[in-house]
Amino acid sequence: MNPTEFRAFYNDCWKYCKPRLRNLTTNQADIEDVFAEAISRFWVNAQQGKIAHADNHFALVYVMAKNLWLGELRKEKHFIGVSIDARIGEDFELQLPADEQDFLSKMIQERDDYQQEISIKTAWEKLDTKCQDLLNATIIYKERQDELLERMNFKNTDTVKATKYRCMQYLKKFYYELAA
Amino acid sequence: MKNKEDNTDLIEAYLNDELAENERNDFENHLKLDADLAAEVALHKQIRAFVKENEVQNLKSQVKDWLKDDAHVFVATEMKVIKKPFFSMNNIARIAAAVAIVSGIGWFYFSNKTPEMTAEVAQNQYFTELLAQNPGTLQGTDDRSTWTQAFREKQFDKVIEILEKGIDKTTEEVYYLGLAYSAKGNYPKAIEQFSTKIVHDSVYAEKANWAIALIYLKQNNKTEAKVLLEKIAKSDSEFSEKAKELLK
Repeated sequence: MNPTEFRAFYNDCWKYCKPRLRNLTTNQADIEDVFAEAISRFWVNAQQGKIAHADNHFALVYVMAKNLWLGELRKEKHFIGVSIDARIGEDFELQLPADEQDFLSKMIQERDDYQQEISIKTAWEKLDTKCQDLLNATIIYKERQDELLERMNFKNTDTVKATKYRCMQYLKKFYYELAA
Repeated sequence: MKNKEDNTDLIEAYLNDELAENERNDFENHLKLDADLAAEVALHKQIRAFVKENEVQNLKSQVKDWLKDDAHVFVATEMKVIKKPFFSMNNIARIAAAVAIVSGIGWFYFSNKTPEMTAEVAQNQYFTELLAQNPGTLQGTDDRSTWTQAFREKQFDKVIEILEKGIDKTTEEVYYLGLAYSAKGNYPKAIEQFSTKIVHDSVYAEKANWAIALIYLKQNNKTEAKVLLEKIAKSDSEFSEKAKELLK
């Protein structure tokens, strides 16, 4: 990942989302929490090529944040006298394309479906940081072998491939040991 | 089908949608017949889901740090401004400052209330707050560690020296360079930094506008200050209430 690129996206996106989220709630901690979650999920999905629409990114992050917040409200039921449906209807300016609506539904579903796999987590933590970095880079950020070669100081692309294979094998081996 | 040991690359290629159509069909047929292979594919999916979720949580934590860095300054400085005069008056300068503030407040309540005097007290307080900001303590380059530490230690000349050397400055660096110039009383250079496009397109935009307005007041440039304060007061900026106070 390019941290500078993410920081720049965060800067502009926060500027866009902050006033809109303030219209939903005045609780700063809630605003920051849902925004942080939404922009992070957006970014990872974007790196994986899962964001369909090219020019509506800030709006998409905002809608994701809003949906996460509404989800929390539904779970905790701590809202008083406010119709959630009425609040959803306030977003008249945001008519997202159907493919992004689908993406949002999948994202929420994915989040709800995700259950912490203790064995995988423990196996992951047994890997060295180079392996973790390499798997992150290939699974999420789709970094090419020549990019990895330069960034992670590998000797050649065969070494990149072999190391990635070895890391995945280690991870599976650790997992099977823990699961046994 | 290859033995289990050799399946890693094939499974990854399958999950990355990198197989040709015939290879994909072949692989999917094997999946239906080979329970071990199916279990291994399921594990790869779980691993990928975990790696993704793990990265989301890492980024979330990073974003929360940034948000905290952007927001902490004002809460902290407001506490300091209110409490410090009552608990740390251990030298003449501080006593004199406290007396001045108390006199100002007393004057505000017990004599004819002129807007100029109210504004002056608030203006000085806000300017002190502005300069009491500190950059966040996130890890970064060696240069960042050096200038942020210098800033916290109020070595503003050093901050200026380091940051002026940088070619591609970040938004944060430009903003804090502006603050360093403000602290040194070099207001034209401070305004120059705060007015850059990179700052105005960033999360520092509100703070930069507020800083410029306070500098205009310092320079007794009431016309420009009023225009900018009115703009801030009308916005949803975190400084809108303070701007309204200064406009009274």
